[in-house]
Amino acid sequence: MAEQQLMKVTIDNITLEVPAGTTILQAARKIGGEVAPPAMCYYSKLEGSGGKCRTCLVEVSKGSEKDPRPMPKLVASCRTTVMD
Amino acid sequence: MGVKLLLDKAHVAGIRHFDVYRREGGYRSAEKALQSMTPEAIVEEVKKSGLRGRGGAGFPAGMKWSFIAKPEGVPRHLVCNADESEPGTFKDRYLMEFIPHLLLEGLLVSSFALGSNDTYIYIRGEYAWIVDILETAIEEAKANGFLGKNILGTGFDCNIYVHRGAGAYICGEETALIESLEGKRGNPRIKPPFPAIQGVWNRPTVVNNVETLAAVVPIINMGGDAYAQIGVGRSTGTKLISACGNINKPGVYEIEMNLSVEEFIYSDEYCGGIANGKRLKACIPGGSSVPILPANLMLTTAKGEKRLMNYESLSDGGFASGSMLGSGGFIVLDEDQSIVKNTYTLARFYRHESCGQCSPCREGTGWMEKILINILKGKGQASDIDLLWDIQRKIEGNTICPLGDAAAWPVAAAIRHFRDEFEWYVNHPQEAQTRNYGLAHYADPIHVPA
Repeated sequence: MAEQQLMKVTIDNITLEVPAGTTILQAARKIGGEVAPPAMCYYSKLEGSGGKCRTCLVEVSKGSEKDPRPMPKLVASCRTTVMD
Repeated sequence: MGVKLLLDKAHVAGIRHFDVYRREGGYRSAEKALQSMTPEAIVEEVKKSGLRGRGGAGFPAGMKWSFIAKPEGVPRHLVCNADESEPGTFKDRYLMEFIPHLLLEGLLVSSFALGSNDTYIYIRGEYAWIVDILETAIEEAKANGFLGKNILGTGFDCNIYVHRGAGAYICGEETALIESLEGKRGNPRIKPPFPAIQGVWNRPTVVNNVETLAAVVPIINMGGDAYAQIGVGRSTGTKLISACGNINKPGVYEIEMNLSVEEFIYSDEYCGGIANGKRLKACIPGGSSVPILPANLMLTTAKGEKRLMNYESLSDGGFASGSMLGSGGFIVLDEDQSIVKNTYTLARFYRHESCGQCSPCREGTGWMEKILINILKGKGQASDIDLLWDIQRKIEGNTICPLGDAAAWPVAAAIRHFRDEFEWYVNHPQEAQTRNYGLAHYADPIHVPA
């Protein structure tokens, strides 16, 4: 695998750097406390889980330039990877 | 009489067969595209035409085509979405039943533009007789060298397969359609990845509506610029509208998109006015999932302009005073129709068709149906209306696929525009069982031409 690329994300005004491919939920859990959204159907050890219960919805205020989707938008944080 | 591009030849005797279709100028665009144009030029032409997806969302077709990933050695696919399950919409059925070769011609040109050698038509299971029509047409086209191997000597191979769905509304959503085509349960996928990157069997896929693909034929024949001249603004070309409900002449009409709603409902060329001399109460302009509008807002926008039958004008004013063109299923309700009952019918439909994958839609549609049947049967409470509003707000935008939005919008619009009627049902439960609310709730009597 190539060199791990770090990405800068800001969640609730707290900025941190996480490796590419990290989900928003995982990034938020790194900060912990009030920042991490609740999640029900997501189980980190089970591949392909999550995205169904919509408990972990977060608002993405700004996406990347590569992604054409309009933002801000509510997304399931357990299935959406961070973008630069 | 407006320009007709799609249904121009629909009533020529025998147009369903290859010989007659060819004699009437059919497959000219296929010859032109395959022999003298590059795939990129076709995509460019469709982009220039401003053609917007006719399935409901109105996303520009040329832009969708340009998103398709082109990795080396991976086949690409074009899928035609003929799973027309939206209540009130039957335009694709008409098109496929009367001129199946127009769809095949559009599919051939589009397949060439996208480099798809295996193209699928995903048709809803209820259209069993159309499957036979399409398969006969495919055989005829193959026998005449317009499908199969080495089409027109250009070395381009294209096969079209007809795949029957099993009658689920959700399979009209493109990722659910892809799942169903793969043989799985029709559950929408979580996006991204988008079908243009990973679609059928993880290959790049474009899913387009029947009417969109058929419209590629006139675009290639007349050129993208000439096509863009028809219509107004960003709503270019013609649109098929399937009109139904309390009107004198239900049916499928091809309109230019600068026609006013008033003319569409009342002129003899189109709907021919409200049946039995009744008055117009409300109208759902684009299939069951778009917001319902009362008569006064339907005929004129909130700014007082005439409302036209196109994407921009119908959505003028946002959801506060506008609606959407959607898929073109034009449902007209006269003064005798109960909005509460109508909303309940739609809510029941969406509860039944929700795939149950994600919570807001699965739970929300069920609760909306239960509350609405209570109000309808005279067991409602005053707080139920606010509760309904609350539920629909928590579904919209929070779901994996647009079915959640489609279930929420009709309920939201009914409460927004017809709250008086819901309150009347709650406050006069006995009376509501015996008579209709009619047009009484209009503050100013709506003007309806004779």
